[in-house]
Amino acid sequence: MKQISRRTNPTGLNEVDRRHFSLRLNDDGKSDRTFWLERFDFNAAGIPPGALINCVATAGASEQYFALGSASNFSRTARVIGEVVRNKPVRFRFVFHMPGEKKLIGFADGLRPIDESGNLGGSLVDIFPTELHGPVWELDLPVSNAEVSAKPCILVERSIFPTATVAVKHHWFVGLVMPEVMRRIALRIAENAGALENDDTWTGTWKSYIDQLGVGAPPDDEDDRVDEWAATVVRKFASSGQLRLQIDQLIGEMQGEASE
Amino acid sequence: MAAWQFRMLNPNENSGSSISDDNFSVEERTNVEILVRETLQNPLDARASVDDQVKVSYRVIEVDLAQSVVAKALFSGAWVEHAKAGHLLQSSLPDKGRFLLIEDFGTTGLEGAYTDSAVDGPSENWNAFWFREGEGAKHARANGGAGQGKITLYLASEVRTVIALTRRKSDERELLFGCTRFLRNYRLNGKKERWAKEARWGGEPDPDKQSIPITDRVLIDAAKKELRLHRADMAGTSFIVPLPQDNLTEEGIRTAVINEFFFAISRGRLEVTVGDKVLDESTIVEAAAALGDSSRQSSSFREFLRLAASKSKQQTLATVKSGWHKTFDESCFDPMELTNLKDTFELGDPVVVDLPLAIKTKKGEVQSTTFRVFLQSDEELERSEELFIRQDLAIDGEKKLKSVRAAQPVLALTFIEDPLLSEFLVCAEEPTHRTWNAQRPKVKNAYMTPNVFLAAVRNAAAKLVQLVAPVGQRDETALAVYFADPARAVQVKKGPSGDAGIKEKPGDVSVLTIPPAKAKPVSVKPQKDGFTVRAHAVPESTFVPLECLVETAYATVHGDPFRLWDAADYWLGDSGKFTLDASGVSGLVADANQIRFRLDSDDALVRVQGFDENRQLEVRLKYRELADEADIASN
Repeated sequence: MKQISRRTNPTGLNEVDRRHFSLRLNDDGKSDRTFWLERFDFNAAGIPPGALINCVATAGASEQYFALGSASNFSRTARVIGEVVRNKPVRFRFVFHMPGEKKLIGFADGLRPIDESGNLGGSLVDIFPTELHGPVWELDLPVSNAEVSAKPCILVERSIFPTATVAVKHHWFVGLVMPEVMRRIALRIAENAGALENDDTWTGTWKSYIDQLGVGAPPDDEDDRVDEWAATVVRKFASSGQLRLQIDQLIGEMQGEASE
Repeated sequence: MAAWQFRMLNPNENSGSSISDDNFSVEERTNVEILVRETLQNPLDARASVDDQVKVSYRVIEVDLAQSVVAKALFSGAWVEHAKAGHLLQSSLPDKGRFLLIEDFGTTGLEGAYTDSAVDGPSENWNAFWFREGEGAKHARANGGAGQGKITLYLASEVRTVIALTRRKSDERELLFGCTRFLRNYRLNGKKERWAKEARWGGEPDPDKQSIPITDRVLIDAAKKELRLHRADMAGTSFIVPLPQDNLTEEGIRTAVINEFFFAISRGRLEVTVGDKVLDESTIVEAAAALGDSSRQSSSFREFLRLAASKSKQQTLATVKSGWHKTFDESCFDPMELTNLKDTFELGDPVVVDLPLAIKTKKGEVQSTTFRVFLQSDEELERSEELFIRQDLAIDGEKKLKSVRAAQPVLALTFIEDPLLSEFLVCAEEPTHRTWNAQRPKVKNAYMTPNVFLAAVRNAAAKLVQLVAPVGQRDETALAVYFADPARAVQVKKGPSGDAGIKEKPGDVSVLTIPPAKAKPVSVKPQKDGFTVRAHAVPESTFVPLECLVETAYATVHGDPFRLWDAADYWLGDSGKFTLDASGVSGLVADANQIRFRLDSDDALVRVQGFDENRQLEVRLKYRELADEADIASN
């Protein structure tokens, strides 16, 4: 028999294209997986900026719900996915509704993280455990017009952090160092007007990343504004993803909550 | 006979304190280590033949001062009076006193003139030791050279006094001599005359005459017997430090010897006996291991030094091309040699490289020299360790590996044995022999661009590490959790790529016209609270009745909504809730979530209403044209 399928849409629910989302999943195979919404283009998705985003992580028959805030200012903090089974791939459903209303105005279904395996793939910054003879860390920062293969590299004292993973998992190291690394990179990017648009230099590889933070392009060469822009970059950076989670854990630790 | 010469200053002589003390008071070393360093360095320089092994003995003995002939001669009434005036002695001498004995064997003894302090020359060791300060008799490449090391012997004595019995190789004479070096010029109690800082103990009592050594057999034999010297008839010098500082113990000295001269002893160049324990090539490793926390070097580094000592005379893995000190890069090696070096280093085996260095003197003479660098990587170590050894002396204040960012800790030894290069480095050495300084007048006056050559020696090991060490394990993904590269997301490959086959160029392919979509004889139109199924006339085709099955279910987030439908959701047979309008339809039956019917004409329709207006409804229409069956049957 031939077949025709249709779905009614009595409430005018907007099915949002998945390409408007960027989802990240971190899975080291040991601790709980974490995910964060890295990017959501609410304008392109046709979702009002004030709409609230809720997310459902599912794996097999297990689910976990997360409220992520408003579409124009959603939380980029990494969230621990501890209630869904590990032996099934995680998928995400996003639903949108206006504050105070139950009616859904949009949804997106079956989203996969960019890095589905939990291995986050390439990084814009390298890390290198080595002997620093005093400092705990240093930042090797290419000059702003260095070629595209150049990358910032965090050097860490190997007697403290024998491997990169040890450093990356150290809450205090991450909480203290990463924002400063971001600030220096932002300032370096801002040294040359149009650095983010230059595909021939390493700074050009940061365009998408900076765009995701929603801070706009770096200002021209007015020092005060550059510093202010860099500070904005750092604030956005520190409020997003795994870093926010780490900082929250530090705050909890300092307030007497049991640390992991 | 033996007598002290205390010399009164004439009115025109300056007075003040001893200045060379300060050069040995700021080291990161204990006074024991300083003493050991200086007292072993001297016999190493004075070895009878270049390849001879030097033997040195340290002992601390106790002597009954009241009964000792030597002590009575040494600590005479005049000496006690002057020692008290010069604040060397606070009260009377004790009944029993300790003596530190430092005896070297296999050396030449203090050679040269001993009756005329005016004689100078490279072999005038007697005058250099007893009558010079700030300049030695040693050839410049000897381990000493600054002429200040002897002060450490005086500093080791609470009464700043040293005596020595030397048996000279050249004339087999035995000479006994001594000296007290006061802290500063002093005045005797109630007197205004100033006295010289140096008082000498010898065979001439008149301070206005040349001081000469004691050759009196009685006193010399008494010294040998009472102090239990091992000298016998062997050439060399026995230094005697009366009333040594309290912390100068045999245990402390043994620790210092191991820490300062592990390499020289491991090479078989030096044998040191401390008390009754012998430190030589065969015992040094075990003795060093027994030091525990007192060892300044890690066990790994000592093992590395021992290995280097065994290879110090062997063939190297590579020799760097001359001119390397200007630009030290891969072009300085034969490619095969460099590959071999890298492989050896990566395997954790010792790398031995010779580095030629042509240095130029102010006289225009170009001296071809060479030195050797030993390297070994060890990932088990906590940190890198390094040492510079000029001949047998550790220049341990030089640290250059700090600037190297190797992925793994490195053990490094820069070993200079070349006499000409040693001579250059001695000129650049600070008095403590722990660091080099290209600004020292001695090296600046004798050599062209000493800073260039010194930098070459200093930085050779560090640069070599950078050349042969594997590129560090730079982690390019660990920070993706914070700095994920949006352009480099992981591409998940689904299934094998298989054989792509041979791709042929398409050539000229005629463009096909895509046929228009074939109109369907039926449609489903969603509505707010339901749906409508409507038949259509298809152009150029005769309508035939359609048998239809409509399945419905509220949309679900997960799973098949039709399978997940439940009677509690709704029941299409509930005529009170659902309205079914039909036209041109026959056989309509609504049950559960399904409706069956037949569309008999091309304007037939079925409209279903009554679904929840807040929920999405999935509608699936299955249909078939009944004419098909008729046709098949008629065929």
